[in-house]
Order: sequence, then C-alpha cells, then structure tokens
Amino acid sequence: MLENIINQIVMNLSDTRVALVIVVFVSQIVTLSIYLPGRWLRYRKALFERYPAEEYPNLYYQPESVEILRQKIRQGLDWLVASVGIGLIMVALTGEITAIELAVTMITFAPVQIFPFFLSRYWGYKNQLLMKKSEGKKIRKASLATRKVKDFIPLYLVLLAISMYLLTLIVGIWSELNGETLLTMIGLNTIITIYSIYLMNKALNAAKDDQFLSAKDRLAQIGKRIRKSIILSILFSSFILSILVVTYFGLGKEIFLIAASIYFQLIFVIEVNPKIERDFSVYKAGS
Amino acid sequence: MEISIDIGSEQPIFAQLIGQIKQAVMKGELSPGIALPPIRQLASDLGINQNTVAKAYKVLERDQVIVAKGYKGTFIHDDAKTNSSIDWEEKASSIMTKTVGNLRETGLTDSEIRIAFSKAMKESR
Repeated sequence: MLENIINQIVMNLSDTRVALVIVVFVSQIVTLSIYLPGRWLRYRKALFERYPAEEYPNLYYQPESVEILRQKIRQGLDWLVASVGIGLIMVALTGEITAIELAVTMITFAPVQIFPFFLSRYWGYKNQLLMKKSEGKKIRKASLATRKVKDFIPLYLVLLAISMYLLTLIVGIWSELNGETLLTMIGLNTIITIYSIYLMNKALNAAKDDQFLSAKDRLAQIGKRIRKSIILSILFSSFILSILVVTYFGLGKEIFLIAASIYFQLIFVIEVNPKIERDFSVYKAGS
Repeated sequence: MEISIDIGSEQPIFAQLIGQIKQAVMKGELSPGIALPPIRQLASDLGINQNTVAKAYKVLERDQVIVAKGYKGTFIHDDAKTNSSIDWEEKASSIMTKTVGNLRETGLTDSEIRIAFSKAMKESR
C-alpha cells in the first residue's frame, strides 16, 4: 500500500511539468498563507509592543482584546488554508493527475488564500471609520506646495514601464498570433496601463489614512502608492509577455497558469508590506 | 509653507483658509506667481470637503489674491500683497454707511431704505 503511494509520488514527480507546477504551488502556499501573514502578524505585534494603547491612544480605536482576537482569527485562518493547500498537493501527488489539472487546482485555490487578506483590510477599514468618526484631531495641517507624480517616481521606473508595454506590442506583432488572442492580450495590457496611470494620479490626492499622519509620512505614503501603481503595470506587462511567448511556442496551458500564479504572488509581496518606520509620536495623547 | 485649520473653531473653515493664505502673502511666504495646490489636494490633506476649499479659492480669486489659469492651476496674483491688505468687509461697510446717509438726507425712512436694499439685492442676483 505505502509502496504504491511512494511509487505514484515518484512517478508524478518524474513528470517535469507536474514537478514544476508543484514547485509553484508550494511557493504560492508559502508566500500567500505562511510568509506574508507572518509578516502582517509580526507588524501588528510589534506595533502593540512599541506603541502601547496607554501611551498612544490616538492609534487605537478598539479595545486591545478585539485586536488580539483578530490576530488569532487571522492566524487560524491562514494555517487552515495552508493545511488545505498542502493537503491538496498530497492528494494530487498520491493519485493520477496531469500538470494542467494540478495547475487549475492551484489557480482556483488562490482566491481562498487571499480571503484572510481581505478580512484584515476590512478590519483596517473599520478602524479608520472609527478614527474619522471620533474627529480626534482638531488642528489639521497641510502643505501649500503642489505635488506632481514625477516628484515621487524615479525616471528609470517610468522608462521601464514604457519599454515593457512597447515590448508586449512588438512581441505581439512579431509572434503573428491569431488576431483575437493578440487583441485580447494587448487590450488587457492597455487597460491595466491606463488603470495604473489613473491610480498614480489618484494617489496624489488620496485621502489621508488618518488625520494624525505627519506631513513627511503623508508624502511617503503617496510615494509608496505611486510606485506600487507603476510596478503593477510593469508586472502585468511581463505577465502578458510570458503569455505571448507561451502561446507562440505552443507550450502547455499550465505554463500560463504558472505565470499567473507567480504574477499573483509578486503583487501580494509588493502590496502586503506594512512598515513600522514612521512617526508614531503623532498618535500620543495631546500631540 | 504649511497651513493649519482648527475644525473645532467657531470661525468657518473657509474663512480660516482665506485668512491664512492672505497672511502668508502679506508676510511674503507666498510670492506672486507661486502655484497653490489643487482643490482636491488641499481638501484631502486637511480631511475636509472639496466645496469648502473651492469656496475659499473663489473668494480669494474675487479679492484678486489668487488667479485661476484653467488646467495650469491656481497661482498667487501679481498684486496679491496689496489686495490681501484690503479689508473687503470694512470697505463694503464704509460704502453702505455713506449710501444710507445719502438716502436718509433725501428724506427716505429706514424701512423704505431696507425695502430698496432688499430689492436691489434680489435684482442684482
């Protein structure tokens, strides 16, 4: 019995395509359900330790017990999702599965993995609403200096984004794919590029996370959002490029799904990156 | 140059904005030709309604402290320093006192003057 299972695993892993999907699937589980949630949890814990509610009352609008409960829920959910993911891989490995079937399972599983992130986002949003409602900050400050997108973004990133977009066009035309596929790919990339430009402009005047944020951190927050938008565009162009190459060389559909998973993971690595390096003294009582 | 408002103050927010921008101009902190932030930017930074900032900018433009140049943005007026020192409320009050005095001299009663004033206000809209 055990021997049969081991034989089946060895057989599955000897198929390069299956092995490749498994590597990416494991990476997806580690990134989205172990590494990034760990980063989020460490950030929340450090925040509470370094800036306790007694000294920084304007940072917390909910009791500490709520925060602790949320951390536990999030931790439990992430571990549950990670276990299910590992279970799915084990089931696939011990049975007869093709690379494409496994890749479809991997991509279908991704939305389940990101659910806890949205839950945290929702909690954060609720906290911000409470902050706004309290109108804790009576004196509000703003700079009278104008802001431009170019003040926040290095030229090389702009050039890289433009080059990547143009490269997808060139490769698309060169690959001589059928019209519909090519148009869909180029159309999608154009939409995402326009959306990134819209996000960059929106970030310039985006609402402050809270009214306590210092002027320096406000600018840092805007800069971060703008850079994220352009990186999104660069990543998406790379994704489209990989699809065009996969289609041109007639590679298996699983390669396309692998590219989608990698793209997805990278987006989350960039997006979920809470930093504690900002001026928290603004949240002290009477500041 | 930083601006600060007190949302708990009895003075309306738009009036605080006008006062501070005029003061900054008079102190030389905002010189002619300098661009002011767009309405959306200032409103989001202060966490207030865009209409409040728009109202302040409208009054400042009327007082020729700032000048709107369409899509290019809003800039400090060339004569902003002189215009900022003009107290428009005081000026209006002085003109009104003079006019009311003249009307009284012609023999009009206070109620007739009030009616005429209301009529003029309505017609000039």
